[in-house]
Amino acid sequence: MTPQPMPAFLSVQNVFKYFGEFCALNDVSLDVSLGQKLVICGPSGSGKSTLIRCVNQLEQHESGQIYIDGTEVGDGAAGQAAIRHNVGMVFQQFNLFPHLTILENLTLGPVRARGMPIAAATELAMHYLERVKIPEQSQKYPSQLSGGQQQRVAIARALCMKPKLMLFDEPTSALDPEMIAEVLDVIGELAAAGMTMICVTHEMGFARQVADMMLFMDHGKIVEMAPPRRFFSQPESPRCKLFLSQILRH
Amino acid sequence: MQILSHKMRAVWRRCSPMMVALFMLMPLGGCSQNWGWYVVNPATAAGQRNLKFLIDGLYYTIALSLTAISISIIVGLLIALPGLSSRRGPRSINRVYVEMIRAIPILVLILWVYYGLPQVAGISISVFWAGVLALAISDSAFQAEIFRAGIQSINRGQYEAAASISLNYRDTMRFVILPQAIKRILPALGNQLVYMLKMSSLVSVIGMQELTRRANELVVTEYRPLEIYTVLVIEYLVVILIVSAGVRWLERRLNAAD
Repeated sequence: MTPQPMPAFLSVQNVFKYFGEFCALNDVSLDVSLGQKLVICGPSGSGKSTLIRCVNQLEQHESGQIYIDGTEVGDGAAGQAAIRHNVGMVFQQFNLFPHLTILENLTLGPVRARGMPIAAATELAMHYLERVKIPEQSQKYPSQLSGGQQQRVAIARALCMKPKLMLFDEPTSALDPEMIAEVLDVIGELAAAGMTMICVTHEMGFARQVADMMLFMDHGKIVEMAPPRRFFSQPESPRCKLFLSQILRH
Repeated sequence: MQILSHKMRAVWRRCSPMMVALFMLMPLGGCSQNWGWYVVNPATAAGQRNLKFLIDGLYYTIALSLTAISISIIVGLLIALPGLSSRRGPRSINRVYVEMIRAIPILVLILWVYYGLPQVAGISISVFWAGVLALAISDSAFQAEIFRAGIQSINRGQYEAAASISLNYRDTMRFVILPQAIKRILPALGNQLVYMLKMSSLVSVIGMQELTRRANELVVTEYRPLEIYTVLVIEYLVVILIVSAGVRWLERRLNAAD
């Protein structure tokens, strides 16, 4: 008797996505199981962001299937609910709500979408603000915080919804160099605590440390997929080799 | 010294619109017309009575304008929302409404609502509510455009962030998009209120006892149009300058909030 393979928590199967004539995702398939940490890299315009935006349906794919926890994600209500209960996202530009305090940014989702009482949501929010190491900023507005602090708030905001899968869309690309480390530290700790995540990033040092699977994309296709050790030491495709040599040169 | 002059400048800034307004009225005092200010002279009993008659119209001017703008803001928002849809059907509802209403002169709309609507709908409508309805409908098309522009100016990322924490459409609008949009369109909303206060004078044609109607009636009995209409001009000036100052204060307060 062959052992049952563990069903993937996220399964992307033969997904195509077009922007007009431009093919952003070209027959993309991948599986992510609970606890896995996937890092996606590749040149700009290669479809990395589009891929994770399709996972939580900020973009709708044209064909193929995406399953989260066994439920197909598409235009159906069940798919929407599956995303709502399982997937959190952190954006390149933070996208905090500028008119709300940090605490209100964090409690809005739990209170309005989950129906949590305000006291409980506040407690939850403070717990995650402590985890991202800025509990003292809870009464400030986003514009009063540094970029690194804002991104940590955005991570806490996503965590407040208790997701099983976190998507990071170039979380450090809009940051000043000296603030990148504090954000990567927080993501690293999250990974160490067992959070399932897909992270689009150009921070190769971070990727090597955190990822248990590396994925290289180009022209909407997955060109290379390998564990980080093999990915960095002996990439198979020439395109990936070239990319790595460019990005790791300095 | 420095502080004093700073204060003086602040006082001047507050008062200057009023000063300029009075200055513009000065030529009226120098022309060959024989003034008959007795008609509104607060020192005489008759003058007092006339002034009170004129100023009492303020109640209806303000009641008309505030009721109408409250309705038009709500209707305008409800018309703006389908205009933001990605689908064609809702969008065309928005376009048809805005284009049609904008094409009707307010005066014509007032006359039609007061004289025509009761016949068409088989209802009786008071002068006040006919005025409110006509002003609100007319203004709602402009409010819809203001809201649409305001909402469209909010970054896409705000919608995406709201979606990422599972907010539905209503909560996204209510807690994320509209609070930011309203702050941005506040100057335009203030403009519309000023515009509304002025347009309410047109409701005088159907007999609403607001500022303009009362001035007209007093002119008929007293034969002093110049003095009485001058008082009317000053009444509108004072109301609108106060409203403008109020809107600016509100803007400053909202801007200080973040």
